[in-house]
Amino acid sequence: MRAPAAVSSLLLGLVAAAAARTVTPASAAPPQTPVQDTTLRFPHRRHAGLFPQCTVCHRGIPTGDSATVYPSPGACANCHDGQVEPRVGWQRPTPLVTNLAFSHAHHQQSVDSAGETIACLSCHRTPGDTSSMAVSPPQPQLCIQCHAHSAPAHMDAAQICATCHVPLVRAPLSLSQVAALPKPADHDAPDWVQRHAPLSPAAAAARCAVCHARESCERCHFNAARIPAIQALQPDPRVASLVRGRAPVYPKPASHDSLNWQWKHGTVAGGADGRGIAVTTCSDCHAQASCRTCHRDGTTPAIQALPALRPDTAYGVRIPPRTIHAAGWLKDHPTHAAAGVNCAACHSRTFCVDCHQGQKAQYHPPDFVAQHASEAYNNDTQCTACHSTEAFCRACHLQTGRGTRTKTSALFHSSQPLWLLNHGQAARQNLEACAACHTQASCTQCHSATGGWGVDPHPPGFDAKRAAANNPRSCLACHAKVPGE
Amino acid sequence: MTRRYSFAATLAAACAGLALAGARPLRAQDVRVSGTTTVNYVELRPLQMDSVLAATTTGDGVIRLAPDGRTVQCVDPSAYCYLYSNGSAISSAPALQDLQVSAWGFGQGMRFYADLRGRAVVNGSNTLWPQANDHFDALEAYLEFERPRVRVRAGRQWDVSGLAFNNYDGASVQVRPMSTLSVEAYGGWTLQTGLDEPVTSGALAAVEPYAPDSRGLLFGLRAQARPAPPVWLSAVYERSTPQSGSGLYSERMAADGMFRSGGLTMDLAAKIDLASADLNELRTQLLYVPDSRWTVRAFVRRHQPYFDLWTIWGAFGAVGFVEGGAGASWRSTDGALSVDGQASRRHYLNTDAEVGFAPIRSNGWSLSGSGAMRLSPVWALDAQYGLDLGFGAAKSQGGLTLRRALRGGNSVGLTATAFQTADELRVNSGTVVGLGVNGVWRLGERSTITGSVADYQHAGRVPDSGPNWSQLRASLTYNWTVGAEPGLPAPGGR
Repeated sequence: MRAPAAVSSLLLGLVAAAAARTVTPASAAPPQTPVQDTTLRFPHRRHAGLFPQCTVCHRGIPTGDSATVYPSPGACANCHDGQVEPRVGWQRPTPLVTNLAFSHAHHQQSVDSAGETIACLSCHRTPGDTSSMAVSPPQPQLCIQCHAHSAPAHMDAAQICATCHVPLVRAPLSLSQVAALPKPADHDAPDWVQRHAPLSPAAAAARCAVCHARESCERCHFNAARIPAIQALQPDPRVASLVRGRAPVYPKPASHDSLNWQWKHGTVAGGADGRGIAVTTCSDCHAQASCRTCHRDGTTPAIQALPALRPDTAYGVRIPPRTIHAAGWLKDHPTHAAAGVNCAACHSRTFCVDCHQGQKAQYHPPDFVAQHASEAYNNDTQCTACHSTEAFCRACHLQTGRGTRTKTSALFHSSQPLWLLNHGQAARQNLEACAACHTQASCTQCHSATGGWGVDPHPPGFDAKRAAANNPRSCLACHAKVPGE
Repeated sequence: MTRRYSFAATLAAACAGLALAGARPLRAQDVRVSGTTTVNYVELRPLQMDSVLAATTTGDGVIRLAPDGRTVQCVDPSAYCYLYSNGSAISSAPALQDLQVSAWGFGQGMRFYADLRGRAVVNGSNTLWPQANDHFDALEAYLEFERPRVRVRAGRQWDVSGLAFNNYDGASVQVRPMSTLSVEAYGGWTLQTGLDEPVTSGALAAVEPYAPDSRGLLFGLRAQARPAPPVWLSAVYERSTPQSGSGLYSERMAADGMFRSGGLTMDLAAKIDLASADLNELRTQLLYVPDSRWTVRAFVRRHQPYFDLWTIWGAFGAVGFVEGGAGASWRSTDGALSVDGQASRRHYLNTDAEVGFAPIRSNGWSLSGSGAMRLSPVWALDAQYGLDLGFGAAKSQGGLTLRRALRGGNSVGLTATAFQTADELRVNSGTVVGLGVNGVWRLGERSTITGSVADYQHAGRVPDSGPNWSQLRASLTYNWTVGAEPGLPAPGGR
């Protein structure tokens, strides 16, 4: 709406009077503020009535001529000549640096082409003040009165930010201004990280690109190169500087706490085609290195589908080596391994051999030699799974005075005064322990039909014929001839 | 150095040399070599028989007291009474060098693999550490041809089944007609568990006067199936006969199964000595994981020892025991705290050899508990305690370990332990207290140094009432790998 031409001179005078009050002394430079300067230093109210139209002073607004957006110092001097009004040191203010994608000229053309009209005060009116020169910087809420779209508030989640704002990479903002960009409320939601992905590259450009650059995403997404929505963003050195050193965030989905996730995740990741969701979902947080914490070979398709880390990317979820197996696994694993569970998915062969070859220093505690007797008796873990009873156990016992090749006495078993009578029961309860110290000849000095005392060692119901058929040579250790011959 | 180069060891060395030297001319894709060098320091006090004049002892009967208060055993009409006393400490510093060599590129699916071990004693006694005088062993050395449906191996290889984890010299053919079924036949010459040598080895003859004089021939069949996703089944049959052809060394079979549904896992294992008609092992366990924090388990098993048929042990009527137990573990949601506890009781079967008026204990029970706490992102505390009382031996043992994680996956730890033990049906006394430090240091992507040193002091002993377990122990291990990793990306990613 255009002000009547009749009051233009009056408005001009008012503008001049207002400027005389608020214009800073000519000797002081206007302060540079890091945020949008919301105070107007020209006292528009004092000049109310002097100027019929805003464009009297702001001629460049409708034309887009930046040189005449503000009046020149000479324009104020028409009244502030020192005689009509006191002189003022008017200086054109420094243009505000914003990321607004707004052009008065273009906006005017759009309004005109729509057959509409719009006055300056439609956007520049001080809220709640109806006087003619109640001027203030435009507030976003005023824009939304016309450009509401589907979002009621300025930074509502459904807002299309690109309607009013240029992408960050084109915004002439300083580093501190970029750091101070306001955060929409939905970014503070507890589950924001899980649901922040835009639906499409276009959606990323419409909203995310106003405040974010590609580096914003690459801080966490080591798979950024594979995500179109991230590639839709442009890189920006200011953002790169701001995110440098900031740790990535990888929230754990609820599914990962579900029952037996450590057993189910393979099926979930692999899917019917073997790649499953690994490419699209797991790879948001997990690189191949995550899987190889446990899956040493890493050749399964689901793992191969994940991106590999590069030195210049985020590091993804780091899974520390942890106990995948339940407590007691050392005792339980033989059945699982024998049944065919794929140990090789996580373990190399040397992992097994290191223990089962009987010389892994770290399997037993350093003082196990002093403690191992009870372990041998309770058979908690079978010694013979890794050790040769004769060449390992008996050899050491003989060297250290605990074993005997032939001669036996009850002296060693000092807790059993009636050892001669009790050793039969003890031997049948745990003959493996006996064999760890005694040679077979130890026993035949008594339990032999040929040269010993002839004490029968066989249990009731002993099948001599079967034993002879199995290995007649063993019978000849005690008998002059094979029983049954 | 004893000359114990077995045929397999010679073959392994020759094949390794051929693989390394010939792989490249044969357009091998690459070779990978991994090594582990371990040096240990161990101390031990051997027991030695000592005597005192019977006339100087006090008391009557078989057990008396020597003039200095030591318990002695006297058997009339001997003029002396005897006891075991601790000798001077002997030490040894054995060194082990393990080498794994893998070479491929001879043709599609072809591979050579060898796992070799060398031993030497750097300092001290060369008889204290088992097999320290056996300077070279080939744990594995085989040529392999593998395609999606079949795998063929020839050489020294591991036999892994419900029966055993030991190696043999021979050949194996595994057929996988479908992804859920595999059948394998194998055969060759047996090797003794943990010895890497045949039953005719001099190492065995040195400690067993009745060792056989004929190598064992091995034949085995193994099948593994997964009829449904939560079910794993396997069965194995093995037979070993003397090369001379008379009799058996062993004939056994084993069956193992695992069933998993939701949070419940059930294991079943059985081992049968077919030659002696003995059930050596029957074990079942239920494991229930109601959520990500709790694990509950219970097991029942029957164990009867197995002996090779070339020994006379099988004729002595070993009976074994039955055992039942249960345990539970809990872990906090963030994994910062975990605790575990288990109790079990075993009962030995009737031996028909009990002395009615003076039976010995025929049962036993075990208690154990452990906990781990992450005090901070870099500090962790582990604690454990175990109590085992029963026939034969007893132990009460506890320990604490404080560990600090350093940058780059390195760590250092401080460990304190204490235990009391009564073993081999002997009287013992005192408490052994130990303090040690240990650490892991990663030199790079593929090399690591692990070390530990601990000193143990046996305090409160009644002199010569049993072994003196005061000792110093140390270990230093260096692991390294060079060469390509087939199928894996180069360090740093693709």
